[in-house]
Amino acid sequence: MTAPNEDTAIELVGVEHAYRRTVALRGVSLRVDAGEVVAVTGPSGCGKSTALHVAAGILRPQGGMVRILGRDLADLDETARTLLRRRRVGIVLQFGQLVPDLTVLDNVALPLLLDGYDRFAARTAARGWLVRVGLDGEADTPSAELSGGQGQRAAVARALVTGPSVVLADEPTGSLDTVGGEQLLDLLLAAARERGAAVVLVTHDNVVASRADREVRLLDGHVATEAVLR
Amino acid sequence: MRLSGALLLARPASSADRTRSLLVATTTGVAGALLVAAARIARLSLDTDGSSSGYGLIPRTGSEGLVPYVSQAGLRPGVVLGVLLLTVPVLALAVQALRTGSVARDRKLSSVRLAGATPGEVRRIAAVEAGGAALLGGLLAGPVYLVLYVLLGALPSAGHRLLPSPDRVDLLGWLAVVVLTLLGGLVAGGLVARRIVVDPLGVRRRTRDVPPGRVALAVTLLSAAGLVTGVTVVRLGPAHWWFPMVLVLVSLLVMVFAGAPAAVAALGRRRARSADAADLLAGLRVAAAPRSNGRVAAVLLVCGVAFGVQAVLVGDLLHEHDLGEDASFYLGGHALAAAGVVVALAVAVVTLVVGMSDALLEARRPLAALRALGVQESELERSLRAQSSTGTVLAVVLGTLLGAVGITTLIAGDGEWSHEAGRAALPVAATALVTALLVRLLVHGSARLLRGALRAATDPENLRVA
Repeated sequence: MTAPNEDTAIELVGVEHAYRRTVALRGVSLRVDAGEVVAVTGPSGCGKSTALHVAAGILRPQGGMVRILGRDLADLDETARTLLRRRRVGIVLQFGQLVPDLTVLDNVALPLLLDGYDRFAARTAARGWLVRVGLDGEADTPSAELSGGQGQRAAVARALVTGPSVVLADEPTGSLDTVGGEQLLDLLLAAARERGAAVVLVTHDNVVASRADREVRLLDGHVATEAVLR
Repeated sequence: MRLSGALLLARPASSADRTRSLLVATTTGVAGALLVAAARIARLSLDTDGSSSGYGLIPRTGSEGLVPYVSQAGLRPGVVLGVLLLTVPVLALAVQALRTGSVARDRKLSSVRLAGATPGEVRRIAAVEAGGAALLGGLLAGPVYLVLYVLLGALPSAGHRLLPSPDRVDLLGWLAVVVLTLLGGLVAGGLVARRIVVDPLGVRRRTRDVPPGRVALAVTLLSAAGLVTGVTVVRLGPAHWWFPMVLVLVSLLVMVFAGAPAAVAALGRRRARSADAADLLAGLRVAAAPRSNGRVAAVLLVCGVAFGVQAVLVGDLLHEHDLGEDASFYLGGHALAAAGVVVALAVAVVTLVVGMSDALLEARRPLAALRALGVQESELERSLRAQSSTGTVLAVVLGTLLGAVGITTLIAGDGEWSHEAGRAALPVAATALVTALLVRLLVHGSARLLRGALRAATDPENLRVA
């Protein structure tokens, strides 16, 4: 069996998805190469988040094909898709979605703990990321006590702790002020570029989108325009 | 995932999680104590002289001074069976508690999935969580048994003790209970977790409460026919035929459990015609999802049947016979049986309330919307009370009357029915009144436990829930 070609980080071909009668994606095709940063933009309800959830394998599309790092998600069961996500894909959602009763350190260490690392090793790796995102002073704070910005920074650390090849971020700066958003984005993009990871940024913010290599604009569930920014 | 990771994530953190774990631990502790008690009573039969060995932890002899149901070898199996049956509703409550979710728990589980946990790992976390609570319950079983022993054994005067003195062999029984509850908790936790679908974006429940259909109606009618046939054959057939009696009991149970959801749905629709907003909401919810209320109404009806039968038999005992010294034997037996039924009844009501807290969780978005639209929390609480009480009092009263009529029909000789019925009328009416009040009290008291869950469900934050 040949190893999957990982030059293309994410590939969506003719993806269709609907929530009951509401059609969210109508034949969306998108390709993101390794090391590339792509912004997916568009008005509310255009299908941006659905596209990201489909690309992450969280939602199974009702039509079309999705490949992550050369693997067709239709060939993978739920457990295999989760393991692929855990080891190779980092996800940041708008509100962080940290486990509220765990400390910040354990939240960041969680993907490693789930992967069978011993607690000391997982926490050591997590502590390194907390230093990078400037939360080393909050390591033992329950995540429920963090501010919105701190929670997002912890979520970024959690997404990057496994050294993913793909980072998917849904409105990562949506709950932050302009300066905080800029700092978070700097951190996320720098860490991804260091590793040559592909990044998909779902955003409605033009400033955030301008940081990407390419912008894909969705409208009513289909790709309306694509523009190379750098 | 290593065990340390599962333990870290299984730790109950929110107050709702702690309450859930406490309920599981308490119920498994009580069930475990009942198992130890059943084993202890059963072990009396192994003692050659019927007395306990001399190395008891508490220096009292075995069957000396025990109530006759326990000390007489012929009656003992019935007591053991009764004690074992009593564990069923208690364990049912434990399972119901495990099934209960909370907003905080849902958020935690979906966050864990987002962090990369597979569905199997989420089930393992749930199993460890339940196993921990059940293990605590198993460890509590020993002390609970000792408390039961003191309450039912040492305190009453000689001749009335229900439980034999604990001895060293009971320690082994306790150990077995600890292992059993741990394993049971792990298995139950894993199985219950299959009821929900946890994905990184949220939690969905697999159960869908659909109104009862034609199959339920057909089963109800068939079992009603079986019941009538059984009663007729018992009345007319030879006295030693046991089959018709079994047919009566099985038909009654099937009829009640198959028919109750439809009956409760009908009561809900009737309630929904009310001009009162709280009643209207309660009625609509019951009519749309009648199974939970229906199951509890069925249990209450069966409890009512037991009370009705007992009312007639006790009335008959007091009226007909000069019991003398046997009074404590017969009436004590009825009192014990009634206590067992009251436990089953209380557990059924609590089960309903625990189930409703899960329903609140599921309906948190529309509830938060109602609150946002200006509906007072007190109104929603009243509606919740109305919802939980729908069909309950009626079921227990109906059951009492059904039981009384049934047993009177079975025991009355030719032409004696009206005479027997007249004599039983007062005790049956008193029993129906007392049980109705008891159920009403239990339902309303338990519904107050839902205040916290209601407050959490109506939080405006839930408007963001998908």
